[in-house]
Amino acid sequence: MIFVELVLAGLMLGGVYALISIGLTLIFGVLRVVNFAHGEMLMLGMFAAYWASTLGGLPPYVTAVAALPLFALFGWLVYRLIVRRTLGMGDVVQIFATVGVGVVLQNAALVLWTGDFRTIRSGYADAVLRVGGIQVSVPLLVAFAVAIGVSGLLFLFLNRTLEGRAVRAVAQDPISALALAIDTDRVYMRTFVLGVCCVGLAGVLLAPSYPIFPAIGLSFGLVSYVVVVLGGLGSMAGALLGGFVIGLIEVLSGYFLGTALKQAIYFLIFVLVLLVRPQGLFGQRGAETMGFGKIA
Amino acid sequence: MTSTRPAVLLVVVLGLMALPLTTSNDYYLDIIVQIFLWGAAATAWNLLGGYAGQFSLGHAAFFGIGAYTSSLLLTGARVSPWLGMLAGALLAALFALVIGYLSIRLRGPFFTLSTIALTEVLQILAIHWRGLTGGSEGVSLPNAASVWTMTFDGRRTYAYVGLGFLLLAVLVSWLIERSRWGYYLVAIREEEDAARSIGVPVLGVKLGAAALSACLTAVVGTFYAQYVLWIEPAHTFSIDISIQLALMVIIGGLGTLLGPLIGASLIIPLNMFLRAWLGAAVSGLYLVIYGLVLVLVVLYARAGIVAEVQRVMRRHPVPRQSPA
Amino acid sequence: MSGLLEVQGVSKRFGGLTAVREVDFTMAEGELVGLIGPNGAGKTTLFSLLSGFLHPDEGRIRFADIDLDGLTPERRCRLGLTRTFQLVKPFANMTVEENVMVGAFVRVGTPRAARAEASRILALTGLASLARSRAGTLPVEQRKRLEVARALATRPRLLLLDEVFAGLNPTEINGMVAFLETLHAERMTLLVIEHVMAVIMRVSERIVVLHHGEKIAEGAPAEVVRNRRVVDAYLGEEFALA
Repeated sequence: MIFVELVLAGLMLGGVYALISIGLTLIFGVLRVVNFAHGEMLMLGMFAAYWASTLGGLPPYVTAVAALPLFALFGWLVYRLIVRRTLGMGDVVQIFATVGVGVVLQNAALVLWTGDFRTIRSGYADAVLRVGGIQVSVPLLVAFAVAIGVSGLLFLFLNRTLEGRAVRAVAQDPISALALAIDTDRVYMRTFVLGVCCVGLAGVLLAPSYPIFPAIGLSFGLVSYVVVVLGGLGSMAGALLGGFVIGLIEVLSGYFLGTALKQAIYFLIFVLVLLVRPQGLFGQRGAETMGFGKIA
Repeated sequence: MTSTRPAVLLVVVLGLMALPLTTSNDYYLDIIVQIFLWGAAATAWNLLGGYAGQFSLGHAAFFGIGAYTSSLLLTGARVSPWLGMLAGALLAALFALVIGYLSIRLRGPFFTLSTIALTEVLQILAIHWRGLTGGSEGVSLPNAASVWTMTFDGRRTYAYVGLGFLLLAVLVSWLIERSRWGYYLVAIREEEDAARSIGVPVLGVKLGAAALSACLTAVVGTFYAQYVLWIEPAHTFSIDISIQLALMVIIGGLGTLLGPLIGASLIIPLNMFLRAWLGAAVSGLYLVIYGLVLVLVVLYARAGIVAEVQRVMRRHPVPRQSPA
Repeated sequence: MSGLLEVQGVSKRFGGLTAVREVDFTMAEGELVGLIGPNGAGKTTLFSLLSGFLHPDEGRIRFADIDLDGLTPERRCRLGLTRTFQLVKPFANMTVEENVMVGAFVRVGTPRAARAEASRILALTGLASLARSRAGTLPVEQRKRLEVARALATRPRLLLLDEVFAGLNPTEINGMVAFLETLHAERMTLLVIEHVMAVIMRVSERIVVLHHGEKIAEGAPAEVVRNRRVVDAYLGEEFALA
């Protein structure tokens, strides 16, 4: 029985990891930007849930919806002010602009809210569902459901709507997309905002299940990079599957090996993927060797 | 890719040698030691990041390996840090070769991603392998001044030892800059595919640069341990160190000989000043400023501050007096 | 019958697309062969296969009696096979001289020797006056010359030139043609991809025509021009075959 519980917990955690990583892989797939501040954005989402709960009594699943406009605004600002200026400017600019954003976010959080561990104390956070002798954490279940739902919506969006196809066009060939009079800047902006919303949402959904503090962005960020590399950069299906795999591995190794070595396992996976199949499960061959080129 | 003129270098070296003599104040001497220390580490980072264009955010790992190796050898086996330093350098080079080999096909941001993971893992190992590393409490080093244990009485002496390491790093960079290897590094940075098509042995060059950079960084890590006399995982294996090194070099000028030192001499005093002004309580604020500086420099002055200043000056040359 | 370069049944697929399909041809030492074909014919893909940037799905490539399978581009350059790129890739932050030195380093060890070699090549390619200029500031024609000069510094036995004439005006074209003929006279083996038909007809001893990844014709320029399949392939394209 415990094994079934572990697998379920792993899958649900995996769903959340998938949600985090979907934002990252979407941003990379379309803008060709690796968002080094991704973990920190997740952290902000977690804090949003915390403050909404502590100050306003809002349960996380309400914050999830209410905070979306905030995430969108934030994503828009970061895109307009910073990310847009890094496109086509070469590695140094692209890497260190988002690294810098990450540093600012993490330390601003530290200054504003200190490094203390915070937890959301609410009935919701501890809620557990019991089905035939198996226990399942409700927040994680909700997160899992949302992850699947968001993935589904994104899939429909990208494949069935005109706007979504425009996004895919830009992802495949920005220059031709321009020639087709697709406003690539707008597509970039919307995709980036979408990615930020995804990761902010993931943060809100994760908040009940983890301690919340500024540095937590780093460890989750690392996980999302591993998931994306495993799944294949730019692949949504990869982020989903990769998320599940990592979630399962984490829960199982946490149980059998103890929490300390959990992160060492990520590194191991990362290394194995690089050695054996660097494009990941679904990635295009060569995406990881692309780096970010100069346009001029 | 112009090589720095020897005359300029000589003046700079002489200036640096005179610097520790200009003050007896411990506070200022500490700043000087740190400028030399971090200048040396930044120069080491520059080999891989500036010349080869491979941006590592994992150099704290090598720094920490150097610090821990020599410290554990000293406290555990009474090995002199001068020797422990060599062991640390070797170990760091080994790690660099392994990581480098795995990441060899990764370009740009993906290479950077792979370097971040290493520091994290080492930090975790350092925290949990208490039997070896003393866990979160870290390692304390004996205070007794003795050349053999690389421990000195006055900060001024530390400054000169630190200067020695800085000059070592600069010398290595200078030699490489003028050698075939240096040309290969820059070629790879500029256009890796074109470099391959004209015979540049990319694998060997990148791995060599990574190993050398790691060695030098580890050596500075040993000196750091011997200066602060206490190391622990959170600060030694910290990504903040890696980011700081990158920041210094970017500000001073990537791929230039003296850029890293210039960056260090701007950042370190800024660091100390901010800490004093904002107070230790507001511990993250100076890092917020760092982050902002990094973003601004990279967006608007990515050739480095020195280069930008030169550029502005060239457009507005100082008017010369007409000859009498 | 072994030539300097032997391409046997080479194919390359990308997902559902066959970019190169069972291409066979040989080159003897000292030949100047033109490689032509409409857009998307697979010419640059073939270059990437020859130079080691791509691995063939089928077939063999032999150079100087050595099977090139698995050899990196760097290794092939050392063996004497060098390529240039259609979209030129100068080392922008290095000077013209330094660019060429990088190529020279594959044959000489010291910067001094490399500099001497670079001077020689720069004089040969008419770039001597630009030796100290930053490569990033050069206009198109000089960049193309630099690309060739840099490749020459590696002392290739076989030089793969990818569209060196594109974007040049008639005077510049004549200059480049004269230059190719000098190289040819010195017995360097050249495989030249080119779109500018007039040039390739003038310069080549022999022409290989690709279309949709397949070799559809091979022979002297005069024959190829009259080949039915070649004419059909180009119908609808902008080129006049005269």
